[in-house]
Amino acid sequence: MIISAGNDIVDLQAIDTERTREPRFYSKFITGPETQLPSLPQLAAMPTEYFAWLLWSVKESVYKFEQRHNPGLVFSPSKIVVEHITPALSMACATTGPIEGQGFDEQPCYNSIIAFNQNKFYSRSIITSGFILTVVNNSDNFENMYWGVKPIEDSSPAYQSIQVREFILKKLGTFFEFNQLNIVKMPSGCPILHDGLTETSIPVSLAHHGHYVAYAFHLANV
Amino acid sequence: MTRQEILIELKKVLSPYTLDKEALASIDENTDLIKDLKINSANLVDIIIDAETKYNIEIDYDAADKMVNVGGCIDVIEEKTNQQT
Repeated sequence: MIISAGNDIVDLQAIDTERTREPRFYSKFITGPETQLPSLPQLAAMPTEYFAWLLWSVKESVYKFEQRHNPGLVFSPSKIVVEHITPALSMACATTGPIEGQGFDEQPCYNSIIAFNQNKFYSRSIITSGFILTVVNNSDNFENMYWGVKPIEDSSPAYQSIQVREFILKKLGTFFEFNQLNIVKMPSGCPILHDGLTETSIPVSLAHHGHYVAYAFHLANV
Repeated sequence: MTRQEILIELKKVLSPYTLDKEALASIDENTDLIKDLKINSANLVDIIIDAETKYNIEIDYDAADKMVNVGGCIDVIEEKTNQQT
């Protein structure tokens, strides 16, 4: 089984709520059977903009997960199909972060099943008043998936980039004594964790949007 | 419209979504929207919608997939506007 990581963050203060509610907008990436998902009783109360960005974050996370092993992959959200969503028991928690975790057993999550390129993927999404965070895996077991999200002061891309790297490297530093951990971007944009000049086998995923940054990585046997 | 004319107008479509105005000023057909202009992927749909409005065209799923760099955007706009004439 391929080991990878894929995540995404949506800052709910940075979205255009009115535009998101327009069918012309969300129909660009919510397709076919996905349009029936909001009619499910468990999702009926979810605002349209939350539903739309939840699906977007799931699709982008799947893309990132797959892109690591397929650098030429084009992000095509209409081809990544969210087949099912199981909602959290409590819809939203008040926290705006920062929060970090290993797996999602202790979090109220939306669990999704996704089909893409004849493969199944599974996601966990946390929706708060501030953000939608999604992490994807190719099995429904997230116990080796570490993740984090935190608010940042400045939404400029340069600041986001610095902050998300510091965030994940600080967490990874709690597992290793390596002092030369750093993130290198592949030409495809996929982040690779290095120790000095040596590429590690730990798949990492970074995300930023507005005033939030988020990471995910897969780490077994620690 | 020539490709150069489309490129000039495309800068106006992209402008609200990038802070890097220097990079925007010097875009060419190889410029990647996310990697070079630092446009957040969450704004890709906005760009498609804005291009549809500006050129009075409809951009379908397959065409939207091509709009990852400036050349791809120009290809789509050129193709869709030509279909109207």
